[in-house]
Amino acid sequence: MAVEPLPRERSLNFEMAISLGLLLSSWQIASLWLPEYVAPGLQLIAADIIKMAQEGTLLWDTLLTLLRICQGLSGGFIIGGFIGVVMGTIRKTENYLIPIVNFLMGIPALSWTLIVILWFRGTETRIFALMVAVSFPVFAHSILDAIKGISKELMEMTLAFRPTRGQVFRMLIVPSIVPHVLTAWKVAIGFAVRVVIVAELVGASTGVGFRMLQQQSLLNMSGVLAWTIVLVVTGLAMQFLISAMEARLLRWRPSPRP
Amino acid sequence: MPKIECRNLTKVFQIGRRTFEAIEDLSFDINSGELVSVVGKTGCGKSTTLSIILGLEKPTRGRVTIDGSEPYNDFDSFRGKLSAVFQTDRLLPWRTALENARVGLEILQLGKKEQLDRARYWLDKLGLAGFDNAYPHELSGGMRQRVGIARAFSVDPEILLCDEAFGHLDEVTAIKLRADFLELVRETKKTSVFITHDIDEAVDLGERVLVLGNSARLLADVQLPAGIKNDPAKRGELKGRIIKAIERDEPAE
Repeated sequence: MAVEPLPRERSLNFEMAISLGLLLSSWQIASLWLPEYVAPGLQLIAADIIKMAQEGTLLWDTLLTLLRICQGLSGGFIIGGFIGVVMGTIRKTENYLIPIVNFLMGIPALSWTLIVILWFRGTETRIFALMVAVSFPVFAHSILDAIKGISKELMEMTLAFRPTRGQVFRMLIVPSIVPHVLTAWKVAIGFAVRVVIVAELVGASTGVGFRMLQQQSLLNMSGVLAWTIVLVVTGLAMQFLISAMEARLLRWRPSPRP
Repeated sequence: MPKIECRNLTKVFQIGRRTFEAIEDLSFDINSGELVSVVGKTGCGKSTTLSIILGLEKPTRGRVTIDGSEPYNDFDSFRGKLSAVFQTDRLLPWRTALENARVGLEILQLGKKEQLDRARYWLDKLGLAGFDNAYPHELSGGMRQRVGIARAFSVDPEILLCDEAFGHLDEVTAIKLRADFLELVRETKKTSVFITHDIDEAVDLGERVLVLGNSARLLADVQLPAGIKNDPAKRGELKGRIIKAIERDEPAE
């Protein structure tokens, strides 16, 4: 009984091509009738992307935004992870900490944006603080759930052999929480992309959000859309990366039946 | 000196405001190399008794000692001495059969090669040669339980504790696995405790049978005479007496 690779859904790619093709062609048709500032043609958007690439902003501003997302989420992961571990392992701390975490989670990203602008100086610090503030509750919740979900039976089985704390952590706890951590990263990346743009719009002079604002002030719709596409693709690429890690790290799971 | 000494063991659980006496004043001895079955109704406290012997639960009163030390209080001193086979396989789903079989050896911090060699040896011995790299979800229930048994034997423990180890399997699979298992226990001369609700299984596996009533009170401690396992008449009579004792919850004659 050999371990077979996950079955690939071939037809999915085909269907995806059709649906995206339909979207793009209807846009292109609409652009023939609508003014350029409403629906610029695909050729205009493509020309803008090529121009951005030639000027170097495509690469550097995208990387910068990406770096901000990664830094902020890493900070949120460390802080949220720590809180999650504390709640999951020390009795009753959950009862005290969960209300605070939930309250902070209820604060809209826009409110956080205003708050960090008043609290901190410097663009990078503000963006980092913002990303941490919006992401850590997600990580805290998911790590708490993950720890609660560790099988009591497997814990007993492991303890019967008298492992050290480090061994329990390595053999049981880490592998049990990895799937939850990956899911949390996917969720966090999803909204981090939105939040980082708001932050860059408001207070930065670099990054995808700032470039978008620039294009908007030039009334260049195709530029705005070009950067939007870059942003969406970047977000999807990050999600794809996490999914690839999932496929690799969680290959022990029964393959899902499509 | 007996290998396992259980003296006036009592375990009380607190569920909300109510207390529940799972074990009430249980005493018995098990000698080195003995194969002892513990039989009783579901919920009679036999699994709790096993958890206490394994050191996972703390006695409320009384004590269990193995070679003079207490498995709960001297927890770490039992590293490598105890193994358990549980009702469900309790395999780590993210590990292959081989990786699961070496869990205990990894905890003993043996060299990697020795870990793999010993784990592979026991998988082979349990008829799982060639399944080293299969994940638990790819194996049948019986095969998974075999991996669990390999994991228990691989550390070469002094005592083997089994909690309804075959209770989850279909009858045909269970009969075969029980026989294979008993052969390995005999071959390795391990002191073994088998917990079961199945009287036939208790008689098949044990050289001695402890019959427990409600709250794990000892109703009978029967040394099985040689030959009884293959003598349907004597066996039936013994089984009848055990059933009667459990039903009435009174000590058997």
